Amino acid sequence: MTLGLTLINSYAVGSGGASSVVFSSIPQTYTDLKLVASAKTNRGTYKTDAIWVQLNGTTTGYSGKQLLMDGGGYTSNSTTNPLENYASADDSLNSGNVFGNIEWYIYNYTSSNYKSISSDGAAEDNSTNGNELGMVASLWSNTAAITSMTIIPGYGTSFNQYSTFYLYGITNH
Amino acid sequence: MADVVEINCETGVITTRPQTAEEIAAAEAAAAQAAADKAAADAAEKAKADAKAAAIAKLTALGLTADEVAALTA
Repeated sequence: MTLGLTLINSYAVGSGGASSVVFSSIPQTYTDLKLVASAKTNRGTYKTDAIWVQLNGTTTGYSGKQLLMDGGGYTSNSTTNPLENYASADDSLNSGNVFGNIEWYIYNYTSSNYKSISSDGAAEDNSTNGNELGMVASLWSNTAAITSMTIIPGYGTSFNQYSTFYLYGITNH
Repeated sequence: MADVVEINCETGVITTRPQTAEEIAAAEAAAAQAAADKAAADAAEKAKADAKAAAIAKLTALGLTADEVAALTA
């Protein structure tokens, strides 16, 4: 099996920031979706921020298990926030042009089954022990095909300028 | 307050609009809940670490060596 990766659309946040970024009218012609972000938010604590991704504008039906690791060790927890990965973005406590990086893989997004999603992210703050790594397994207990994604900061209120978001379609040949 | 940006993947048209009052309220409520959840998780983690440190201190007081304590707590 070979995989085809097609850029559906992308967006770079301009001056003034963005409270959320929405990819709407997602084509239903691919097998899976991949969402990639390089982001920084206006949160001012903890040096990292989560990113949440609401599917079809829905705020319910999510469950996830997070495995997080930083300079202080590792921890795991559960979350019901939409596709939350706590190690998604840097926040404004970090000086300089340092952004977090993350990608979500959304399997069988047009299926009438519940949707399974995995993500891995890393937030870098240019210190020896402040880096955060997160791997998350998520489930959206909803049978609707995914037609839109609303990307929002988990704890901050807006994405900073130069944050970027790329949505890819994956085709199994 | 920063704007909402919508990218229509069929047309490529990008629309920017201010947040509605409902979206602002929902975001503020979500952020408050998330902060409370994070604080609770942090407190639970600290309590667990404190309990482990207390247990190690008691084991050490009983005469276990550092290596023996490490073997039990690894």
